[in-house]
Amino acid sequence: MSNQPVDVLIVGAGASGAAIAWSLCETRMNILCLEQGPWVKSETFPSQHADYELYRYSSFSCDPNVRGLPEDYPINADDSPITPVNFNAVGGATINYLGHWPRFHPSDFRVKTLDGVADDWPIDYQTLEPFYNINDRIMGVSGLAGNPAYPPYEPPLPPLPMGKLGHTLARGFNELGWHWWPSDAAILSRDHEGREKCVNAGVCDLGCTTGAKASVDITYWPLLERRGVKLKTRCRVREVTLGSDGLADGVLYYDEEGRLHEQKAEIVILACNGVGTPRLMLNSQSGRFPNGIANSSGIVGKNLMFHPLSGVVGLFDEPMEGFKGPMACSILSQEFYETDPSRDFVRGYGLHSGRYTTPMTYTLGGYGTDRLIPWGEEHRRKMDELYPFLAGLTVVTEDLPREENQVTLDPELTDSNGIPAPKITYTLDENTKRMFAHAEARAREALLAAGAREIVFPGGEVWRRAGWHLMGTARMGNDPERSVVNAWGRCHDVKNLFIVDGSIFVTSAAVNPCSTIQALALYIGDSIKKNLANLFD
Amino acid sequence: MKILVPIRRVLDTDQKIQISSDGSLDDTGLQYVINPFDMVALEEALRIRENSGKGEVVCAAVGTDDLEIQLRTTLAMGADRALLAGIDSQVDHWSAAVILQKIVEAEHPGLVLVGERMAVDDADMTGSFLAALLDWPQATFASQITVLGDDVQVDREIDQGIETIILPIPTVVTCGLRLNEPRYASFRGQMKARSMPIERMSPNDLRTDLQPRWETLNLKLERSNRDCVFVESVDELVRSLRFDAKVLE
Repeated sequence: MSNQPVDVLIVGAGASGAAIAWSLCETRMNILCLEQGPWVKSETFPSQHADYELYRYSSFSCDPNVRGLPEDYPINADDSPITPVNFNAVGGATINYLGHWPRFHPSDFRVKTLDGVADDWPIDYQTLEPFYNINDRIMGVSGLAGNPAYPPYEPPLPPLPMGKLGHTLARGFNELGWHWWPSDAAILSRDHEGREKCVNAGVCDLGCTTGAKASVDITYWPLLERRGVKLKTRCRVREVTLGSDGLADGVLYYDEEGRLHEQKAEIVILACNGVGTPRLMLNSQSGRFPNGIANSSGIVGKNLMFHPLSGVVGLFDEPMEGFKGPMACSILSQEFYETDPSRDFVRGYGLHSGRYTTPMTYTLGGYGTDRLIPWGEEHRRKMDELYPFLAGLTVVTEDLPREENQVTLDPELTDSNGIPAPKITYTLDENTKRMFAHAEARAREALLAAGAREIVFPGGEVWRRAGWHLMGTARMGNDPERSVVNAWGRCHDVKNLFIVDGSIFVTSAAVNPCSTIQALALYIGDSIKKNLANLFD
Repeated sequence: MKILVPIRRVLDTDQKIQISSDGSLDDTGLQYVINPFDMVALEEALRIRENSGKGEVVCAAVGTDDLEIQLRTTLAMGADRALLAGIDSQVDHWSAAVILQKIVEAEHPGLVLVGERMAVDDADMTGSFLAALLDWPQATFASQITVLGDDVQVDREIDQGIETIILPIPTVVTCGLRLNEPRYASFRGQMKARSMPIERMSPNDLRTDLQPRWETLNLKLERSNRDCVFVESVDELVRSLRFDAKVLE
């Protein structure tokens, strides 16, 4: 089937696709977004049901291989200690993310200059700053101004309550004289633009029924639909097609009934995350690009970065009320964020105090981990004597880009449309391992300083089901041989093909990437608008 | 026939505005759009030109340089020319009409199609002020426009239904949202529009002395937080409605 051509075609209706659609709708161009997932409704979220925790192991698992819904594509992560997680729906992973919202540090954009590793970004913090601010306002971000780890900025809403757990851990950081700050969160501390504030239900990963957590289906998309941006759901793009002029001329996609459509467009924008985007590019083969579209450099899919995570848990004398309040974000310490030459690793990490998970998930092994607690008497003891009194620190490490960590096409595995599925090949960097050792020791120190009676889990285990942050697989740069897109997201090889998701990150920083992904998408939209007359020069 | 379409911009009405501490509008990160009623007027002008196979559509904006973005959009949609009467201060409906009068006198359009009102303040004054200043006939609240040789037939939406009138050209018609569905501004159109000039003029060029008829003293947001009070009994509810909310006598 052949559809009416459009001006702008965006693949993916998640965080970055929605943001760039908003930026571009100002031009009144005909914009179409294709999304392989459906609309999800807050009435159907698991948190509406008493057995909500069970959904973490079935239809609302963060792991697409566990969910196995029609809209999901399988990911072969057998050769990786970390498995990528996502969500396929309008809103993408903002539906089941935790809304933790730290920005990158200015240093994160120039690690080559500062530390001699990886590469510098072709843009800096100042370039993105106005777009961080715009996005914070649209998403509705809560936080406290004045964090000394950043240039000055003011989140639009006051910070979320830190909770008992946050206050306790803050005392530990104070004791040691370490940096800490209440986390920025894309969760409303006050009613904002028609959305109601957080009620501390605490299961942000199962969809926010209140609508206090900013998922783009309730922030950007209502604005976009009223501005005439079209969105087709359950449409899975097979490949980006190349015209005889060397420009992308559209895509081929399957609709819900499996019919193949040809959709022509003047501009194609990929917003499918750090695994989905390279997969789509590698699947888009042509005479000119036998190894995938815009891949003359051969690095599409390479340099995959996660944020390897680990955790340390302490046992306190008082109940920590960890289940109360937004899961991911209470306070974080960035005392060890920047490089210190006296340590045996470069770059650094954050110590994040998320709140604690719900009882059944704790029983079944934890959030992102698999430390099953036993049945019988020992089960009873752990639930009574441990669970309420636990508080932990999550170690979030900067992952350095390495070409051997990559997304390729699996030779056999496909999705339900027969499109080759991605395969992940990934090993932990030696730098990361040394960082973990340092970080876990510091986390233990902080928990003990905060009054922990003992350390019940000392770390030493990388969270497996925690590949939330998918970055680096189609990176930005000025050198076409070492990067896929230029400083404003345009493919070096195909001048009307843009990428706006985490794929274009040059380095990973050591913070959750969503606010930076969206700021980048807005910045790229702005660059497209400024360059419209000579976009393909 | 030449058709003049005045273009004004408004904040995207789906976004919530905020007021800064100094009482001014804080528009950080908010997008401006062409006043939706003006957009309908432009679409109508383009269709009249396309149906007749001849003529010219000229868009004119009165205000700051920021309006260039909206004027470029009109060119991308298909307007032939765009004029910007640059004024630094806030432009009220009267001042806009005074300047538009000068533009009309220089351009000699047969039709002025203008949005029937501004989405920002719901005021429907500009078109009528302009018709009065020009001493031209006017048809307001149009839901259909047909050009008949030297006349134009307009269906007007009035309280009793639709009123059809015929006016001699030149005339001013103010356009309602039912007229049409405005088109997209295509990418090819955008590329073309970027290389087209925006013709600029100042109040001096127009030999007019602006005397604004209104002044903004301050802005404030309507309180939108609803207070929720739980009451124990019907009596208490009635008491509360009567004495606290003062909605019952």
